[in-house]
Amino acid sequence: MESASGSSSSVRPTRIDQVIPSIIEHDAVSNHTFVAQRLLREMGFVSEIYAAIIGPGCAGRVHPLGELPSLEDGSQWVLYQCSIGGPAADVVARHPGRKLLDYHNITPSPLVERWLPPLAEECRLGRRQLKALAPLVSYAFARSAYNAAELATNGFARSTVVPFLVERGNFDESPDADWLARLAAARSEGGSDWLFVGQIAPHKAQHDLVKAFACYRSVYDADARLHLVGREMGSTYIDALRRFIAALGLQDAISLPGSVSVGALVAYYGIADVFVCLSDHEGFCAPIVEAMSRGVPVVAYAAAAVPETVGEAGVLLSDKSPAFVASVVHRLLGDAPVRASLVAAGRARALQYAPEVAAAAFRDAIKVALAAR
Amino acid sequence: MNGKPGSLASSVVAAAHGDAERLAADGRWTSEKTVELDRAFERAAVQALRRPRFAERSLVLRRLARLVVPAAARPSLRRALGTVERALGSVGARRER
Repeated sequence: MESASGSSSSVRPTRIDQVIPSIIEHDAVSNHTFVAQRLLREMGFVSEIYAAIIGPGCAGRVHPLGELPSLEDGSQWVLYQCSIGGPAADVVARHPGRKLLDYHNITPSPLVERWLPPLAEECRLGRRQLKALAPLVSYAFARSAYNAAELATNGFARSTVVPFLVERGNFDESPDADWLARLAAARSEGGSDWLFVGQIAPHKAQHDLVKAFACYRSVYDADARLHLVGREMGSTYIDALRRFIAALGLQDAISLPGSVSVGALVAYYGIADVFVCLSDHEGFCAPIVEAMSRGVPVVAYAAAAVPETVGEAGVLLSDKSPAFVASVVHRLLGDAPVRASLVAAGRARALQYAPEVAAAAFRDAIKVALAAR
Repeated sequence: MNGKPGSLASSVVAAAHGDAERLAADGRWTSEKTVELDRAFERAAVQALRRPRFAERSLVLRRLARLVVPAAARPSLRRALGTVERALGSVGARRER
């Protein structure tokens, strides 16, 4: 196998292709990959995306993994978008070109083992592959300092933090009028709106959100609503979540709209009183930044990279017992000066992750990687 | 837990701790209610996990399917499997009752 300081190090690449295990619409890692492609092309590189699994909405923009060229003259580099295990990592490991790795973190397998054993196996595989890639990768990017620390632990010699890449258009998109009207109509009947955006998945702990929300409805606001936006990861966890919601009689108060368009998502941020994240694991949590940029105050359980993403611009929780979470939200929504202050702090925090800031960090990281070859 | 002592976030957290304690003392939200919620979710989880999901829960089957089933045929196969699983799931549900 080629080492990170291979013989072709003096050749400047003309193309930097990206490899990703799977790519799908309305997904943060996938969107990041598309923006990275645009930036690489703007920097003058030929850049294509190759994926083992190409989801709906991505056909025509992404090539099957088997079509990845293997140029041996040093003119081709490969940037691997690492978030789970699979054949893509092995293809990257065998590739003759210089390798970069962009680390989004890999969900700890115990968090998904009970619900989706095959996914847990892919998570374990991903961590093994990450370690195996360390001596082969010349430079790595990480979504957060938390992720960068994991890279160092796994033997990556050089890495830098590059925030999530997002399109400016997504940031500025107007709310979908139909969605906004529907959500506003429900809102006009009273009650506050809680929002969480993320895959419906065990490690995102939507069941803990339901518990806290049930307590909040019981003691503070009987008309409150909870919106859990995101596609499901497998069918078992969402099945359990639906049964749980039904058992509590909260079907009319909790919505699970699935994956929605950017305009619909903006409508949700537009009506939300508070963004509550009780995830047990996040490598960054882009929706926290989206909420901040849209003026929604954030309450979040302090797990993994979440404290780093939130900073001082939200309320971080050291435990997620229902009464405590409900009381935090109640305090936040009932105190206008506190709420306004956190909204202002959130907007300022989101500017640090603005699309142009992240794009500049990505370009700088590529330049450093080129200089380090 | 974030924020400097006296910051807005830390004052919200401190006040909420007091509120939660008062809810328990007043009997409006006791630890027993939290335990009930935990048990309700556990029951839902057990019911959901009891349903068969062959293709989703078996890594071997998934890998095999990727090797032998052409990409174009996968959506219809997935739908067919879903129909079978739903049928088996409804049988299981009847048994539970």
